[in-house]
Amino acid sequence: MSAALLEVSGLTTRFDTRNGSLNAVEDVSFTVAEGEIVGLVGESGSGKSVTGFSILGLIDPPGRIVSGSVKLNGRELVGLSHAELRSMRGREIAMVFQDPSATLNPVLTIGRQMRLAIAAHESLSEQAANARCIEVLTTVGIPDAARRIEAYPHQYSGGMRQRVAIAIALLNRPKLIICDEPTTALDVSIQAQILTEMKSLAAKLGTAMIWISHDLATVSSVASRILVMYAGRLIEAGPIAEVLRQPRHPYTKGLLNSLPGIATPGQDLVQIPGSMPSLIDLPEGCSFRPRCDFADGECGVMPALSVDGARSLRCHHALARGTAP
Amino acid sequence: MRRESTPLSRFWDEFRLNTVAMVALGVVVLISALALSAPLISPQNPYDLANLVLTDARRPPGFVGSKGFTHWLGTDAQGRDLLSAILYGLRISIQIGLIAGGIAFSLGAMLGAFAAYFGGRIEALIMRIIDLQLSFPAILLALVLAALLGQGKWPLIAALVTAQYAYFARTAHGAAATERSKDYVDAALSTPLKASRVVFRHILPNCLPPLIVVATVQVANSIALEATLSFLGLGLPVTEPSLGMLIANGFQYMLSGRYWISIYPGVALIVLIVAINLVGDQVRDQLNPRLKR
Amino acid sequence: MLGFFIQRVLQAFVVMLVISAMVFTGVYAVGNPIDVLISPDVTQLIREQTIKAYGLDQPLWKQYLDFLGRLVRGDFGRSFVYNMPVLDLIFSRLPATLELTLAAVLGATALGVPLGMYAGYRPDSPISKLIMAISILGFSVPTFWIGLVLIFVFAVSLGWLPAGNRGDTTSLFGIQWSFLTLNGLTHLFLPALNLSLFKFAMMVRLARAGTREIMLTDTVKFARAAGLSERTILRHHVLRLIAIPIVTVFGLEFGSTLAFAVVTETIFSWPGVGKLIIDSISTLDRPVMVAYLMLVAFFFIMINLSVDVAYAALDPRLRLKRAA
Repeated sequence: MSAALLEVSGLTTRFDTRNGSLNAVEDVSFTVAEGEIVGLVGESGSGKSVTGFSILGLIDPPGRIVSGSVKLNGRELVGLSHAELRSMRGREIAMVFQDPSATLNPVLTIGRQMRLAIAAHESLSEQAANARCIEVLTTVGIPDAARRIEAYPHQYSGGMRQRVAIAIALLNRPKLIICDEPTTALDVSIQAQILTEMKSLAAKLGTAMIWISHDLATVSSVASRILVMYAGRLIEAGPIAEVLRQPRHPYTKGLLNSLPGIATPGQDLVQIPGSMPSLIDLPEGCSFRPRCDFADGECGVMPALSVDGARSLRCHHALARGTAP
Repeated sequence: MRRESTPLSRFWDEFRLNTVAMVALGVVVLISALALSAPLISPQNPYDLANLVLTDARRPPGFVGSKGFTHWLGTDAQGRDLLSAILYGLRISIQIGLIAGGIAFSLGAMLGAFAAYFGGRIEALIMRIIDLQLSFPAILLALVLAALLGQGKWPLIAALVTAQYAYFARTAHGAAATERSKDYVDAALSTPLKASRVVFRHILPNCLPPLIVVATVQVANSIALEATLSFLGLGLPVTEPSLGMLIANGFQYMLSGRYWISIYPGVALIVLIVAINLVGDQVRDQLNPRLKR
Repeated sequence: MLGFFIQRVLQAFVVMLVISAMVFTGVYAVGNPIDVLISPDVTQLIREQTIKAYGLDQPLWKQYLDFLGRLVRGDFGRSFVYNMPVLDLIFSRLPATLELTLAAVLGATALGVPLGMYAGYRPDSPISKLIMAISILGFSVPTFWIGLVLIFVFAVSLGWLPAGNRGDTTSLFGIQWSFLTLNGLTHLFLPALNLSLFKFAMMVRLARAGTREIMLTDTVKFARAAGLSERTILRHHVLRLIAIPIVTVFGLEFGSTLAFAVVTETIFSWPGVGKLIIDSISTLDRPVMVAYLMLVAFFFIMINLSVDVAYAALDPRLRLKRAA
C-alpha cells in the first residue's frame, strides 16, 4: 500500500452569489496514492470541477474554501500564501483543462507558452528550456517537435492541441495531474488515442491523476478507482471494477443504466427522472431523495459517508449485493 | 417559487442595484424634463430679440435686470438671461441629439440589415462604403458637410446623421450576418412564414442589444459633436444659440474674468453628457454577454 | 505576408482614385470650378484667362485627367487668403499639428494602457473606480470645454502656463519643431494634454474591458494552474491579447485625434493644419479646403493600411487567411 500522495478531508467550498450562498463542494474526503489514477464522476454542477480547482487553490471570489484540508505529501495546501501556492502549481500538481483552443493563447507560439511555464519555476537557459520542451512534446506524441515548437496553436489540430496542453502539464514533472474533462471536446477517435496514451504516460512516469468527467465510459477505461459526486457531495467511492459491477448508490446505478452501451436496441434509453437540484435550494436530507426510487422517511436526514473496506457510500439504503445491473 | 420575469424586468432589476447608474438616470430625466418645459419655466425667451436689453449684457450672477427679474446665472454678451439661454440650449441640444441619433439609428440599422439580407455583391459594396466612411473621423465629416451645407438646424442634423449612421450600419450588419447563419433562421425560413416576417420578428430582435449599445454611445456623442460644431461656428444660427455657441460666445470674456458666460452653459452640457454616458455604461455592461456576472 | 501587403496597397490606390473622382465631381461638375481656382472678386478678363489656362472649357473627362495630373504634381492651386501655393501652405503648418498629435497620442497610450490594465485587473478597488471616473470625464466632456477649463485654471487663474500659441522652435531634419525647446514645451503641454484626454479615456476603457474579459478566460486559468505569476500573466498573455484591439484603435484614433486637433488648435491658437481649415471655411478659401480634403483622405487611407498590416503582424491567425 503506497503512502497517500494527496489527502483531501472535509473539503467545503462556498460561493456567495447575488442569489444566495451555495456549497459547490461539501465535506468531500478522499485520497490519491502515488501513481494512482482516480476518476471523479458526476453531472454538471455536481462539484467535480470545483473540487479540482479547490485542490490547486484556484477558487476566485465570490468563492472560497471554508473548511477542510488538502494535504500533498503531508503538507497542508489550504491557507498557503499566494507565493507558496504558485510555486506548487505546475510543479507538484498540474492541471489540464477541457478545451485546448481556449486554454492555449492564440497569439503566442507553443514554444513561448511552454517556456513561460518552465520559467515560472526554474531559470533555464533558452537552449535547455527548448530541449526540455521538445523532449516532452515528443513524449506526448507530437511528431517533428523540434520544428513545430515555434508554430501557433491554430496550426495544430484539436487532438494535437490537447497533447500540447498535456505536455505543458508534464513540463515540470508534477506528481499529480488533475484532468478536467480532457477528452470531452475531442473527436471520438482521438479520444480513444489520448486516453490510452495518458494511461501509459502516467504509468511510465509514475504520475498520479485525478480524471474528472461526466462520462463513465472514458473514466472506466483509464481510472483504477472511482469517486462519484452528486450535488456537491461524495456519494460513492471504490475500485472501479467493483463499483461498476455492483453499484451501491441508486444514483450510480442510474448512471450506469443510462449508458447507451448498456441499452437494449429498440428500447427507450433509461433516464434518471428529474434533474439535479439547484445548489442554492437543496432539499432537506439526502440531495438525491426527490429522484430516488428507494427513498423513504429515513432519507429526510443527510446520510453520512460510511466506509466499508475500499468502498465508501453515502446512502441509507445501499443496494443489496447481487442485484443485477 | 420564483416569479415569472421578462428579460426587460430582469434588466431593470439589475440596473436598479447600481446606485451610480440610477442617480445618473435621474439626472437625465430631470434635465430632459426641465429642458422640454423650457418655454414654460424660463424667465425669458432668449430667442426673441425684442426681449433683450443690451445694457443688461455681461452682468454677473445675481444681477437684477431692467425687466425686474433676477438673472440667477448672469447675462451673456447679448444681454440674454443665461439661465433661460441654458434651458433653451439644453432643449435644442437634446432635440438635435435625439433626432440625429434616431435617424442615424434607423437608417444605419436598415442599411446594415439590408446588406446582410441581400448578401453577395450588394452586401460587399455597401459594407465597403460603410467601412470607408468609418475610417474618416466623425468630426471631419460633420465639419465638411456643415461647411458645405451652411448654417441651420436641418443641415446640422444632416451632418450629424452622416457622421454617425455608419456605426449603426456596421453593427446591424455584423449582428444580422451572425444571426442569418444560425440554424433557427433556416428553420424559420423552411416554414411557410414570409421572409420579411422572419427578418422582423426573429432576426432583428436579436440584433437589438448591440445596436442599443452603439446607441448609448452615440446619443452622448451626438450632443457633444453638435456642441463642438456650434462652438466652431458651424451649425445653428447665432440667434438660436445652442450650448456650444453660448460657450463659444463667452470664450473671449473668460480671459477678462467674466467666466460665467462660458462656464455655466459648459457645466450644463457636461452634466448632461456625463449622466447619459453613465447610464449608457451600465446598459452596456449588462448587455455584454462576455462578462460573467 | 508580402502578397497581403501588395493587395492592400492596390486597394488603397483604388480608393484614392475613387475619392479623387468624387472630389472632382463635387467641385468641377457640380460646383463652379472657377471658384476653386481664383477669388470671386477678380476682373472678368482674368477670369476668362484662368478658364483658358486651366482648360475649364474642355470636356469633363479631359479636365479630370488634368486634375489628376495636377494632384500628382502637388499643384493644388494658390490660397486666396495667403496667396501662396496651397501645398506649401499646408506643409508649413503640418509639423505643428503632427507635434501636437503625436505628443497627445503617445501620452494617452503610455498612461492609459497601464492604468486601464490595472483597472481591469482589480475592477473593484477604489483606485480603479477613480481611474474609471476620470476616464468617463475625459470621454464625455467635449474637448473644447476641457480646453477652456485648462486655460482658465492654468493660464488665467494660476498663470503657470501660456494660454496659447506655439513656443520657440528649433530645426531638426530641416523642419521646425517646438518640443526641443523648454519654452516650446511649456506651450505644448496644455494643448497636448487637452487633446490627449479623450484618447486617454478611450485607452483606459479599452484596456480595462479587454483585461477584465481576458482575466476570466481559460487561458489565464490555465496559466495560473501552471504556476505563472500574475505579473507574468499580465505582461505576456493579457498584454499581447489586448494589443490587437488597442493597436487597431490606436491607428484609427490617431486619425481621429488629428481631426480633433482642429478644436484644440482653435482654442489654443496653435498654428497647425486644423486651425488652417477652420479659418479657410470661414473665409471660404476653397483651394485650401479641397487640398485639405484630398490630403486627409490620403492620410487616412495610409493609416488604415498601416493598421491592417500591424494587425496581421500581431494576430498570426490572420496572415494565412488574408493572403489566401
